[in-house]
Amino acid sequence: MSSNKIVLTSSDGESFEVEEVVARKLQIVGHMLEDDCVINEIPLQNVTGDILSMVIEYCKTHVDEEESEEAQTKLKTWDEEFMKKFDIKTLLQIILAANYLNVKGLLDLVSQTIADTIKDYTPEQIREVFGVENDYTEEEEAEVRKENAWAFDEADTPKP
Amino acid sequence: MMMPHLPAELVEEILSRVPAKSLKRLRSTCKQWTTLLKNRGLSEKHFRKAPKQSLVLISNDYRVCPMSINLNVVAPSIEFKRELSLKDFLYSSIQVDITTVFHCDGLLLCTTNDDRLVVWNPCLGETRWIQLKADYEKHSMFALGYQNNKSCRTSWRFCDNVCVGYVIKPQTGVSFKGNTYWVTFNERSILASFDFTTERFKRVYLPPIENLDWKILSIVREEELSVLIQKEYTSKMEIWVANNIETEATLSWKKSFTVDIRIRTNSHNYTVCHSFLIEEEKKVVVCCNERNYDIMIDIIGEDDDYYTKFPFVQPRCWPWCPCIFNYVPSLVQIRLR
Repeated sequence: MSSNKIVLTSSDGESFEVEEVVARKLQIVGHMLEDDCVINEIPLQNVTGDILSMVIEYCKTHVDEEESEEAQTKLKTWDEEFMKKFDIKTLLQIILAANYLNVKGLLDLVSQTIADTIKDYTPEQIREVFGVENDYTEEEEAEVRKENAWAFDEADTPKP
Repeated sequence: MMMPHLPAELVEEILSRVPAKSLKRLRSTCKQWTTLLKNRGLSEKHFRKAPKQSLVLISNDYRVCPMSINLNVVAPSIEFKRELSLKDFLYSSIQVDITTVFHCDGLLLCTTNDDRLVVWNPCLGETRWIQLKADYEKHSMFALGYQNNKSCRTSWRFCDNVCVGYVIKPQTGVSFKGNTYWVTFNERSILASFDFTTERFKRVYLPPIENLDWKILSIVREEELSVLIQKEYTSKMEIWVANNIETEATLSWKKSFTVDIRIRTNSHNYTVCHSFLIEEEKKVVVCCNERNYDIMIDIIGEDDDYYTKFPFVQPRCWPWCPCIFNYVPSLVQIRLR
């Protein structure tokens, strides 16, 4: 495997020197390298340095994905611990970055983490996270809630 | 805290991984979400990706209600929740009287007291009423399934007058990965399985069984088929599970645990289990039993720790016995768009 180094530069000018194999985990970079093999510095416009560093950390860990069950379990545990570090806002920034940089594994992981986080949220919390307006009138909302009453139980008590 | 704005495709990616029950609750977020949850693309993605979160439903007294069972206290407790609302399509203020329920991947197939048939997704609030043929038999049995292990269907088909070749015990059908399994009367060690892909019945073998043993089926976490065998003339109930059900007619059954209902069936007393659920880790069975014409829910553990009875008032819809089952809400659509 080639040990070429590639420099990735974030939107706020932070640079990261990584092995080519790691950089290729970002499919956006992989495509650029296929188009023109001589680049060794790649500007990434839509991601800031702090988020890019987390994506790189993920890619470094997943650089050689072994098939063995033991390796898979170890990676899974690492993924879980990795995700625990982030609050919801950071998770949203990571999902945007994973989507833009096209890192499939990270996109799946962070989507599931956000899903697990928001499943116990109240509609009010959801509106805040996703920046959506409540366009129901009070009566309409009461009606929808009544219709959905069975989906509420103790286990779903909103968490603070 | 200012949150970054996500494009619609990422919102969909996230929502396709949230259990259906939570999505139902989150419908009141905004109108756009209510519409999104009825989107076909999301429905298909959701079926593949979302964790299967099940709840317990009980059909009793013409209604279907969620039920919570708490096994974490010394004397287990149960609680019935507000019913799922099934409105008549002609008179939307009237609740329909449901007599039997069959569950398949979040869809309920119900027969009604006025002899109608409806497919219902309580999570999406969608229904499809099915017109029965004029010459249908009063005691017909209905089941719902799908072909080739794909529940995101593109069309509906009705297979009627299917030749069974067995005497099927009413209200014993369960759906597993698209196919239906029934207990039979005439062949003691056989389940009748209807394969929706080939539209034929096939035989599936049960664990060792005596002639008069009573048996009933249940699905565990949508992953395993379980059978409760009530040993005749004893007070024992055996719970067996099989999980290789997709592959062959010869299932590898393994005995999970045995419980003692403490009341021996004899000429004066009888207990018949009509439906049950198991908690495999705790080795507890929750069964809906008929005992000398009374209906009750019994909770019994292998070690006797959980032994609790909850008598029922005689249900209004006699002879329909209450039925408990695990229900996994889904966004599977009924109406085709």
